[in-house]
Amino acid sequence: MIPLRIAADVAGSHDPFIARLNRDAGLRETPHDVVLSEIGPNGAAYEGPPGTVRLRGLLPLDADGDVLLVLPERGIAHRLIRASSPHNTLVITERCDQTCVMCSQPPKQHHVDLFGLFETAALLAPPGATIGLSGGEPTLYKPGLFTFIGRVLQARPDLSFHILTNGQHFTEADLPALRTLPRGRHVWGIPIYAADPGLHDRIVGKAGAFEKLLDGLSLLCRAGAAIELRTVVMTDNAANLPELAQFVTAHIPFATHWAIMQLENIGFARRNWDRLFFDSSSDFAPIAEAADLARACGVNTLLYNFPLCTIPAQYRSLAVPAISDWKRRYMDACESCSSRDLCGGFFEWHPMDRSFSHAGPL
Amino acid sequence: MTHLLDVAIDIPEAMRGYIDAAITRVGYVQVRWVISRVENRIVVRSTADASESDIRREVLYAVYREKILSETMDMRRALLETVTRR
Amino acid sequence: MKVWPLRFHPIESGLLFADDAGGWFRSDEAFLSRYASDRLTDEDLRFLKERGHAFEREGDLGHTAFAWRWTARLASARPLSYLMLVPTLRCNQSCDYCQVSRAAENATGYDWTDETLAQVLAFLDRLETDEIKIEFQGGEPTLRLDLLKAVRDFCRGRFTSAQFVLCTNLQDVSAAVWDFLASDDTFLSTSIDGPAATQTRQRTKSSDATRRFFENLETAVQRLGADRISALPTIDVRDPPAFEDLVSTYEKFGIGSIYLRPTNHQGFARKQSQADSGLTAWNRYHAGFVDYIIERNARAGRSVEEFYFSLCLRRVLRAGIDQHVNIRNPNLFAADYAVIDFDGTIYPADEARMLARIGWVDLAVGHVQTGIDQEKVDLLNGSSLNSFDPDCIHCAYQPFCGTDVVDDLSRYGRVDLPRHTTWFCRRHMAVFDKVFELIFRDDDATRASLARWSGIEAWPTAMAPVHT
Repeated sequence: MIPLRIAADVAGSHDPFIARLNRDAGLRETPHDVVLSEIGPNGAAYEGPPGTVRLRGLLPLDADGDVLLVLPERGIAHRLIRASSPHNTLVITERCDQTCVMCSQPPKQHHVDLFGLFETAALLAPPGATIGLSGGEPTLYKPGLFTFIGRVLQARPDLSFHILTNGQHFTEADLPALRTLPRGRHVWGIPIYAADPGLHDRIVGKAGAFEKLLDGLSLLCRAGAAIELRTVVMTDNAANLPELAQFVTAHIPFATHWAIMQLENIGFARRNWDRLFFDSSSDFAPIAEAADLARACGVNTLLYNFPLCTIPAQYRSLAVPAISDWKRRYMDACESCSSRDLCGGFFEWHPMDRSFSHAGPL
Repeated sequence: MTHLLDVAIDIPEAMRGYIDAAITRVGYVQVRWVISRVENRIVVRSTADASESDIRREVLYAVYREKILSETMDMRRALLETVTRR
Repeated sequence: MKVWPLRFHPIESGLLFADDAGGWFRSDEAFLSRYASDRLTDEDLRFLKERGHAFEREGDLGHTAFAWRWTARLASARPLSYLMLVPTLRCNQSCDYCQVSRAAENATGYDWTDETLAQVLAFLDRLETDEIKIEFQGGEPTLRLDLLKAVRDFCRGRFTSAQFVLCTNLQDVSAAVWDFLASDDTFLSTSIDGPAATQTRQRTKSSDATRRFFENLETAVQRLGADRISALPTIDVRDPPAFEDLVSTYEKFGIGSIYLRPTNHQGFARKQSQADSGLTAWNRYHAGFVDYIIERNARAGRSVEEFYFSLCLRRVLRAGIDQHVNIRNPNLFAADYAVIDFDGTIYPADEARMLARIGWVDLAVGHVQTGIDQEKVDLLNGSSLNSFDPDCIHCAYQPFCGTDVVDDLSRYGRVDLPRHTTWFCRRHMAVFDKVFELIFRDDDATRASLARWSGIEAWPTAMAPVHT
């Protein structure tokens, strides 16, 4: 596991600030760049316009170019953007209007507006980076969100965003704003759990969510937005996947792709694991049928978070190694697996004792 | 001696407005049939190999198609407008 | 709730219904009667809404998704990026069915001049696209390897990505030609009309030459690998090869995709009845071949496809299958694809080039020196959309079908004949009838082949919707 939160000592500052770490001087010289000045057994010190920052548990070589949110009063820094990783996500808010049974980031009531700091951070991202935006529910703060995305993509035409949203809060009035966001450089990742409104609403813990989701999807289509549909497979909805596939091909054919995802044992999913976890390694049929149906009808279907050994051979080409590097791990047995380099592995917190019945080196 | 078949098809009231259009269409498709309107019936004289049920079906299908075409024309226009407007 | 217009068409197992966006299902006369007389039940409406044939209000997801699917069914204009080049009409063979498009090997005046080559390169240079695919045809293009190299060298430098297909009879293959074929960006296409007897009868005229052909083909497979080789048979339906002979010949060379094409009686004056009987026989041969390979695939455990059938199957299942220039809607002329003749004239299709050679109709759309004549292209394009054709608008297959203005002109000299009297329409009615016959056929062997031909692993049970 790669720590994203590290201990930080800052002399003199109180307010949160953004700092980009530099191993060598002279390469990047914005007001937010700090340069390595000292390495010791207890960490490294960096100096620059924001001040002097001492960081523990960080290797300067690995962290070169990283963009940090430093919180002096709490003595910590968040590694918002790791320059050497493709997996960087900014948590826009912890507030949410849904309570999904498997939620990996259980909602909190408190919100802190970090758009200003996030904008500074995003502008310092390495060339060509894709930055994830997540929550809670980011579109609870639509105006700030649209402004943030628009300003960053305009200043940095090389960057792109992947924004997770429940699609509940888009309205007709948002169409002009949505249409000005640069096409091809942002994707909305939107969950849908079933074709049956009742089942979807139960899973997300909000009555009427499904109907609002459909309205949101319609608006996004009219805005020309790119959509990644996401479906976490659980015992609650596995048998209904083929029906959902049919629904997607008829009603959401404009999705850029459909990601069928295995469950992550974190947040609410952790306490509900035994009830929710669907062992797709012993019963892959509903997923296979859904994938075949969707693909035959032109919907690009992918498998996220499935270790390759848990997928029948002929469906493995649909797998994408989607687990973020910082929370990915492999079993000891994976050492001898011929497909290890292609495989996305397991989640860091995957319960190996209550796991797939058919998993092992290929 | 040619075999002649005369078939008279009663057209339901709701579809009588489409009799003339259907006759035009069937006449165009089935060039060897002689088709005419007698009040609210379509009469077909055929020298071809079609059976009575074939003829009956073709005529009714043509009436249905003209009705559907006419009644959904506005929907199609609206669709075109939806996809072509800015 | 508003229900989109439904077209209907009798099929073996009932009535096929389809909407303008290519959504379809099977039902019966009772449903048709209810639909036509505005007596749809709640059950009917629920089914229709679920499957995307109806919507509640404009702007809701059902409506938006339908509009999107309808639009997706239309082939969009793309920049010119696929060119067939005919640097010489001269050929070292005289296949039965090719008389109109070849010149003798030692004839003069049938090759690109130096000036034509320069004009072709200048024309390529002016193209918008970053990617290009060039298909060398003829005559026998290897008779002018120098011209092929000149074009290929230029393209490799000028475009970000370039692919080349050499169409050759593989009769006399010099070391220089093997050398030309050695690059990864260059593919081979040839004609295998069947086993040796068929090949000799229709193409080479000598069993010695046929033997040389198959030897060269064997060498090609070894040098290039089966992935860089494609082949097509031309079938004379009056004397066709047996199915197994044809398939096993292809299989021997590692080719599992067979594109059956009938001998093309381009422009020859003939009685309508002769043409019709040819079509009936052709439809029967093609359908028989499809049934044969289904049974064979199940038996042999390997998958062979008939290319055009797979194409039409995919067009039924999904939108966006618009890469084949003979079937798409609209079928825009000189858009993404064009043909450049031995004299630099530009044609919208190979058939158009041949029609000009026999003096039937001039469908040239420009010259490499002066570019594409947009006015003439627009005129042809006016007839290239089937969506509002007074015949096609009633047809359940319209969303999957297309137009072929050049074929209509070649056979009938006009484009305004009733659709159901044209070869193009009647041919495609037969193909789509076969597609739906198989979709609703209920057996494992058929389902297994349908899955392979659609590009998926297994045929889902929900793929053949039926409403009763």
